[in-house]
Amino acid sequence: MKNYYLFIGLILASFFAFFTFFGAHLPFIDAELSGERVIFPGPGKIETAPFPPSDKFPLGSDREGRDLLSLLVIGAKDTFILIFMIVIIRYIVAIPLGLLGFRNKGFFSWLNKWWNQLFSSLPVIFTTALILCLPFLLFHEHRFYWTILIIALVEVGRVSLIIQEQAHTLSQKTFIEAGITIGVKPVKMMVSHYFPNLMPSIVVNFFIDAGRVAILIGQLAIINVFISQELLQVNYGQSQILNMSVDWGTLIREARRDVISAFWIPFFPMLAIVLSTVTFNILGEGLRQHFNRHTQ
Amino acid sequence: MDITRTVMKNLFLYTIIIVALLLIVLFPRNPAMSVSGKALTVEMEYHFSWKEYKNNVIQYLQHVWKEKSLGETRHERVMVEDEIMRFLPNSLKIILPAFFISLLFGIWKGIFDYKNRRNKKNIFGNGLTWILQSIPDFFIVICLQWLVIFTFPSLKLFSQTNWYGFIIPAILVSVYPMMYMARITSAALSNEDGQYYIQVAKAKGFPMAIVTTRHILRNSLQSILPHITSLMIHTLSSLLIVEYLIGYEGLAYRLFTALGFTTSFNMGSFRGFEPGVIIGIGLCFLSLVILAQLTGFIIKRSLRLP
Repeated sequence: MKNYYLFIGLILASFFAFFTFFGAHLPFIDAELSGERVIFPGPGKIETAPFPPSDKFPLGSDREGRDLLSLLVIGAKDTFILIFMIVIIRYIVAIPLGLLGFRNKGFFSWLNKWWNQLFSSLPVIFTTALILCLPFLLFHEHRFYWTILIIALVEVGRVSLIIQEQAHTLSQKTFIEAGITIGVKPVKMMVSHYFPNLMPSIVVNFFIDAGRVAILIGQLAIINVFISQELLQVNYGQSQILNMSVDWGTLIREARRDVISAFWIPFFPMLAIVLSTVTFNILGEGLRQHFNRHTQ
Repeated sequence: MDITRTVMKNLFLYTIIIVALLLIVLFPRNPAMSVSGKALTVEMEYHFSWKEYKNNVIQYLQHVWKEKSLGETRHERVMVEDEIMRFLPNSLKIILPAFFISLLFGIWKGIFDYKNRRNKKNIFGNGLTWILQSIPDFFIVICLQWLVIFTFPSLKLFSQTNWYGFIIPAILVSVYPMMYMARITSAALSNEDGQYYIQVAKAKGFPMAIVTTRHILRNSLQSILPHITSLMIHTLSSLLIVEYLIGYEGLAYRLFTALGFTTSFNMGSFRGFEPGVIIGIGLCFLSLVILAQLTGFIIKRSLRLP
């Protein structure tokens, strides 16, 4: 059987990668993201942003009059950096924790179980929203990094518990016993016996997690919790929180209002989030089939 | 003995979660706001003090103890309990149908996926499950809203004034959890592949449909049922988004009001953060999760699973 999932996943992933890395140099992309809120198409005519999809703006424009397609392409880099940083940090913490708890008893196993239980008893979005609204994080100069760290850590328990359970099942296989019998040192055991066997499922779960993070970032943006923000003065004694980054989450933040007046503003960034989630999931499934190709 | 142990362990767990919730919510959240310069630029400073933190926690606990109430809200003489009594029924109307729909249909869809994993219907089986799980709830909600507003404006699907106002939100909320359940179920069913009892049942001449539901499903329920709490969690997180986007007046909607997410600041005032309401709603969510756990336990008992 051919692995269609992997094939489609790789095509979609290379499509996204192309726009992420070379998008800024494409002729139809405005890398400067300049925009005019009011344009005068002819004598006596005035048009104000947001502009609907047209020849000039293939996907329409946002409320600043910036081309939505350019915004999406330029923002892809920020979005993917965000998603991958979160997932990579999560796995860097979770893999050692999961491997250390492979006996299913002892301190690390206990830690993984509690970490998972503590954060999986309330919706992740509820917990993250509560923590991200803590005042010292609100205007911290490194809020971006703190946010990434927090979103990554909240779900470490779930990931490390999965790894722990798989490592535990593995620890009862004969080749592990053989390794112990011929006197392989514990560290070597982890690196060359456990890790290579766990790698396939870790890679698969990595991509599925990336899809979940993409959805979570979208959800956080919908409820107006931003990853990076600044305080901007708008009037005498009045300031406003403004999101300065151009990631896809920023674009859908006013979905509730835009759905009536300018549907294209939330629609296309959301479509981009959906497509990247589909890509991550399909890649995960394709890789799973690829790794299991000998057993089927 | 085993049951007592499980109950004690869970009680301990939920106590810790409640304590963690209290500690996060009661964290001092008042930055010092000041204005400076001709333009009255708002400046925020935040200094964390353990004393304030301790005060917050002690005062809150004393209040709970004395008044037998979870706290006050932004409205005068309206206690947290009153608000919850007002908003909880609206949310329950969504949560309970959505939860049971996603449980039953999710398992059914999982069986369908498992049965058709090797033929052409797989596109509607695993394929559809894949696609629906990759589409975030907010995308479905926004698209549906737009469709309804611009194509059938006479349909008041999202209005809460109609008795059927909860049906569409309930269906929207149940999509993601249902697909989650379907994947768990089909994975659990595939895990039983090649067991001898399946061959024995087949050899006795039972049709495959009966073998799947009576034998394989029964055995794999053992590994499906522990996921029932996650199912409730997924239902609740969809609820948060759906209620917020539709503007459905339920617990989740009240939660966002209580979190005080406004993006603009005036001098002098900070967000209307209502710790009592957040704690109350958190407790509601937690009890729903416990309810889900109990449902799982009851199903397990009534089917006499080991």
